Amino acid sequence: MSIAAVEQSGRIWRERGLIYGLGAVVSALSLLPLARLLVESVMVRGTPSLDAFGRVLSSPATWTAFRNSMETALGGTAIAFVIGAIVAIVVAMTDIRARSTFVFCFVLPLMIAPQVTALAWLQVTGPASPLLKAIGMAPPLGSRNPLYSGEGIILLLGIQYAPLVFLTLRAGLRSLPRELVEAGLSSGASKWMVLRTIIVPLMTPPLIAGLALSFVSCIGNFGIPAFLGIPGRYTVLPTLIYQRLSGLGPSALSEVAVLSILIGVVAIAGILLQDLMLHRRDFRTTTSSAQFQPFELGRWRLPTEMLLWATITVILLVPLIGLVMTSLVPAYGVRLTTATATLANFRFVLFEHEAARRAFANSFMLAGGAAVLLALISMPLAYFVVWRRTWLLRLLNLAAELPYALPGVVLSIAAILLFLKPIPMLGISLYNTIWIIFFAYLARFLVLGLRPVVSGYHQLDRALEEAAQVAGASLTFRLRTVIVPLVAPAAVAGAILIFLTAFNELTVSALLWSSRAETLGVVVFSFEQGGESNFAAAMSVLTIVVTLAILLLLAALGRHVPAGVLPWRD
Amino acid sequence: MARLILDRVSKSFGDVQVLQDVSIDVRDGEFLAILGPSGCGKTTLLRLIAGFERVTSGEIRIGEKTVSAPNRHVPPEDRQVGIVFQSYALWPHMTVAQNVGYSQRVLGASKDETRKKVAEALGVVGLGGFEDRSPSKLSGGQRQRVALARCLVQSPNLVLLDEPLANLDVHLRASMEDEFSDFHRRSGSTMVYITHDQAEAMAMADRIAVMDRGRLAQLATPAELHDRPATEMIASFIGGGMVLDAEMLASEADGRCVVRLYDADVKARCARRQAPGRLVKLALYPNALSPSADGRSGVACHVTKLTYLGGRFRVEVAPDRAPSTRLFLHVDEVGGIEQGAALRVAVGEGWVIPHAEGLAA
Repeated sequence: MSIAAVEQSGRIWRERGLIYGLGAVVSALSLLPLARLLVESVMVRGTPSLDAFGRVLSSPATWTAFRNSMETALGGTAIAFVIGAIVAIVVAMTDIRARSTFVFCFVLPLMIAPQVTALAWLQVTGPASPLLKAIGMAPPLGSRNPLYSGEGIILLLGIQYAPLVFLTLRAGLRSLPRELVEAGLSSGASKWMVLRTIIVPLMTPPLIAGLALSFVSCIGNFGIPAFLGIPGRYTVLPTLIYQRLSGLGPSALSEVAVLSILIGVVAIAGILLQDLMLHRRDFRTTTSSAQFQPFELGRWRLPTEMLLWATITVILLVPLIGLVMTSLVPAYGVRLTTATATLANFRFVLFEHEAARRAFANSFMLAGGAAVLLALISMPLAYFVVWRRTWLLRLLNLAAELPYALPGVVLSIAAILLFLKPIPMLGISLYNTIWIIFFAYLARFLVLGLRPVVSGYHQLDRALEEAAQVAGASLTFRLRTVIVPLVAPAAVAGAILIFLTAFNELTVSALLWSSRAETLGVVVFSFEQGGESNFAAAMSVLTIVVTLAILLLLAALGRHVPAGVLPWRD
Repeated sequence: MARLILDRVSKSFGDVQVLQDVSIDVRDGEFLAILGPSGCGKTTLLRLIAGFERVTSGEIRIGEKTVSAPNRHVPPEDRQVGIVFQSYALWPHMTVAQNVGYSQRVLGASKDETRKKVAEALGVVGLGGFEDRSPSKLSGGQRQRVALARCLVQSPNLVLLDEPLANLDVHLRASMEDEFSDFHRRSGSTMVYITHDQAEAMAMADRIAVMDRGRLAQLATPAELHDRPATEMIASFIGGGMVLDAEMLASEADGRCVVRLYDADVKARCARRQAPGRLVKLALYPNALSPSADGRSGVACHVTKLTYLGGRFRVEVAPDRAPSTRLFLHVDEVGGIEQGAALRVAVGEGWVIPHAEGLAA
């Protein structure tokens, strides 16, 4: 063989090595845990058996939780739908002012952890509410918080996920060609008529997709039913799994495996519906050139704007104020005045409480580590998926969606099953260490990092790579000098989204944490369970400050980020 | 610099055959244009030569080396082929100098040498002193020149140009055409130029390969392509030629013949002797037609339309024997010509298309 031929075959092997390496990583993160979970549900101590299935499915507790899950998910979705759809239509179609500020504020609840939302609302409505006390309307101490109920869970789920319906519908509205609307108007139809006969029918697929997405998120939500349902003795599937596992330990694993498959099946039905609807977009509406002229509201503009901002006040501002007030109160039930206000709670969680201090460090490192690592994996992975269309990685790209689309408890149970025993051959045990959480974060948030990079590649001209190729550059050289610099902004945006989500996360770590491996979500949860709402509020306020700071950073970075990565951007 | 040989190259994507048995021999230092309407397979041909796609059958050789064959594929990075992309593909995160000097960086050349080569190449394309600019700050024509300079530094075996003028406005095109011709003369490289614009191809190329639905329709010099088009498609694609039904009356061995066109006998050229009475297709350009001087000979027609073109007129006529056919000619003065009037049209020398389609053999 000539030198050139040797060089060439070496390069081909390096390229294959990269493809198989990426394939192995993605399979280990997305397919392996779920396969392990499926095996567990049909095996008892190594022999095939459907005992666990029978036991779980014949237990009345299972069906109570199942019914409650369906009730809260459907109810929450209904509320999310009403709020999200109305706001999307008004925002996308009329000439209200300060649109981007409004969208940013409206989408914000999505970026705040559900358990923080729950905690904040509890501070508004309970007997110890500093807000109600300040206006003298607090119920007597000792009375039950009305949010500790199925209705409370439904309300908060609705508020939490209204932005999801909003975003899907708004994306649909933005791709609606203006000619369709203008043709309706010029044939003499009123704006209402156009809305009813043209826009709503065309928007049915995104509407249903948004509904399905919101349903899947509700069904998998852990933070809200954990904070509201556990004290209210209202159990849903994720909290049932949590309670079984924390009560009985690993001996309950077969049982919770079946429970998590049950919830997974419900979620997959929702995911499939969403997928079907998003792909049923009418091809005739993809010829869009420009967005239509917003409808002028005329004298209705000011009242509409006031209504929109009133909504923001109720769903965002009031709970945040409640949360901040609680974090400033010296002790449970004390009335907040300028004399009683104190920063002692912040001092306590930041400097005095061991676990809380550790949790800040842990969450920063877990979220930061996952963000950086996943961004680094995403750039070559998306390269093969989008530009090279490597079939193996294209399939795995779909598999990578699963751990994020499925409820978090499903992945957590799968991770426990996978790592309960030391890893074969290596003999390393991840169970009861921080590394099992890290693994679960990598698995769950991979797709968050991958999606922006994939859309980044779609927006780049591949000739940029081909120009480097004809100049003689090998794949690794091209990646380093041309490809990575070009997709880096998208990867950074993805990394920031991962960091935000992981930093605020509770669902996964609630099941996987161990002593010395606490996350912020876990510590907030245990403060609240121990009745120390003031400390929980102080920690939550700090996480919100970090979240907001990062979001503003991202907004500043906005120009460099490919279109469609930041949901609130116009 | 090298010879490029395509030997019966075919390419299919799944069931769709995009190229079929294309054979082209590009001489060392030649400027070859590949011309064809969109969808004729010319872009696929370029991507095969560059190595971005694999051939289904056939062979591609650059210089002495086989670079593409069904069981052999040299990757693009090892072909030493330069490409000027339609979108220019300048890297936005690099300066002009970094763009132009990229191939030197690949080779690990020293900074001084790179700087020298970059300055040289930018000088050739008339962009000396633009080293530290960002590509986004350049005009379309300047970007085009940077892309050329990038090619030049690479000293490639072969330069491929993929519709490089498609994104430029009309005024810039003419000057860039001169630029490419200059570039070709100075660098002496073998160049393959892809285009759908026959005027561009005619103006620059030594030879033109006309592609039609995945096949090579004709490979010839611009003059030959114009005077002796091989197929109806080429005759109508080049220079607005007309293709008319005619009947062979007599042909000579030297290629001269007489054909009957409607009610007139006209002289023409043909590729080979053909039997009298045979139906043929006659290719004619508008400048071969004129109003008959004596008003009696020529094809009897009626004027259907008169258009002023600035300085001259375009006359559209329908032969009386074939009222649905239209002939076009240009006149300087209208004289008695008006819509609806009878007009006898004298026919100059035409060309009998050798591979006429749709005719019984």
